[in-house]
Amino acid sequence: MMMNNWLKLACIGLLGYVLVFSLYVPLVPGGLHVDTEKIRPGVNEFVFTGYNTHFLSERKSLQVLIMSGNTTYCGEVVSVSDNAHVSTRVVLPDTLPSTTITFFVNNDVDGTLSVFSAIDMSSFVFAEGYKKGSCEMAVSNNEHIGFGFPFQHKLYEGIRNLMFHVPMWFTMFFLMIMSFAYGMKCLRGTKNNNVVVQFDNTDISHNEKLLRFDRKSADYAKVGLVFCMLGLITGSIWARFTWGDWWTSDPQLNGALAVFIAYSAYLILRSSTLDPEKRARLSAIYNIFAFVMMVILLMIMPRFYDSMHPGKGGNPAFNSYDLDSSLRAVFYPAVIGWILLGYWIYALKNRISNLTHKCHEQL
Amino acid sequence: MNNFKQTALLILFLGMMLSSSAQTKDTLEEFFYTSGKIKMVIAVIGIVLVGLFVFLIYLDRKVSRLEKHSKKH
Repeated sequence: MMMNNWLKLACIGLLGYVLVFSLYVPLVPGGLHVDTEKIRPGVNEFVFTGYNTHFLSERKSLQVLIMSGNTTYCGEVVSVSDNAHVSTRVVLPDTLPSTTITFFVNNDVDGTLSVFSAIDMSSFVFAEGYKKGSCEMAVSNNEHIGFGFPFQHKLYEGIRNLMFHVPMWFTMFFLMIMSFAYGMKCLRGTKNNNVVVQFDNTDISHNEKLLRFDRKSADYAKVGLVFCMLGLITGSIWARFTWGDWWTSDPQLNGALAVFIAYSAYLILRSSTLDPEKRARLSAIYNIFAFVMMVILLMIMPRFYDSMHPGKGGNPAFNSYDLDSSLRAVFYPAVIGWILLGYWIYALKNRISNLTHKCHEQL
Repeated sequence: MNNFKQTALLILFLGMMLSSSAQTKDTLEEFFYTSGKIKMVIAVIGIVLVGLFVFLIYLDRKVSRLEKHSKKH
C-alpha cells in the first residue's frame, strides 16, 4: 500500500520542526550548585553557580539569600565573574531553626533560582531560640523572562530526549495495534478459502487476501520491533546518565524488555512454519498473546508499582505536572511525526514483502 | 558491492563508538556530563538515526535481491 504524499510531506515537516526546536529552544535559567561543602556560624563565603543565567548583565538587581526553616538570611554579593557565577558572603548566627538549608538567587531576568543541597551543618545548634533573619527579598518577578524548556536537576539538557525516546514507544504502540488489527482480520476469515473477492480493485482469491493481511500484520510487527529496540537503547543511555546505571529494575524497563522478547518470539514462530496459511493463522493467534502482554506490561503494570519514570506509580502517564506547555508544543508534533515515519517505513516494507511474494509465486 | 561497503562502514562506526565507550567510568561520565548533558541528547539522536539507517540498509538489500531476481526471469 502506497503512502499518501501529503502524509510523507507532513512527516518530513513535523520531524524537521521537532529536530530544530528540540535542539534550539534553550533551557530556562536554573541554579546548578553551590561550591561549599560545609557552612559554619559567622562569615561564610561561597560561589553560586547558575545555568543559562544572567548574573553579570543583571548585576544591579542581583540578590542572594539563604533560607533555613522559615527564616532567611541576607547574602552580600561580593563579585560576579561571569553570567553563571556569583561570589557571596553571608553571616549566620550560631543557632538555626532547621537542619536543611536552601540557597536562593534572584534577579529581574532570571527570576528566583534555588539550590538545595546536602551541606555539612554540624557546627550549628538547632533550637527554638534562633535569631530570626531579617532578610526580605525585594522580588520584582519570581518567574524568568523568555521561552524555554523547564530546568530540572539531574536532567538538565537531557529533557530534550523526551522528543526522541518517548515517541519511539508511541510509534511502537501504534504499529503493534495495527499488527494486532490485521492479525484479527486474518483470523476472522479463515473459512471459504476459494471464494474470489475484490481487493484493491483486483480479483484475488479469498485465501490470497488473508495472506495479504498476514503480511501486513507481520510487517507492522517487524517495524514495531525496530522502534522497540530503539526505545530500549535510547532509554538505556538516558538512564545511565540520569539515574546512574545502564539498566535499573524499574517495572517499565523490564516490561519493555519482555515485550521485545515476546515480539521477537513472534518472528521466530513465523520463520519456523513453512506452510503460508498455517503460518498466517498461528502467528495471528500468537499476536493476540503478545499484544495483550504488551498492554499489561507497559500500560497496566507500571501504574501499580513504583517506577522512576515520571507519571508512573499510580498516575496516568499524561498529567499536567509532567509536561510544561513549552514541551507540549514540541512533544505532540514529535509523536505524530515519528508515528508517520513508522507508518512510512512499514508501507515500504509491506510493498517489498508483496513483491517478494509475487516473485516466489512465479518460481 | 555497495551493500558490502555500507555494512563495512557501519561496523567501523559501531567499533569506534564501542572503543570510545570502553574508557573508564569517570571519563565517560565526565564526557557526557559536560555542558548540561547535551552530549547525551546527541547520543540518543545518533542512536535513533543509526537504528533507522540500519533498517534502511536491510530494506535496500531486500530490494536489490528482488531486482536481481526479476532480471533472471
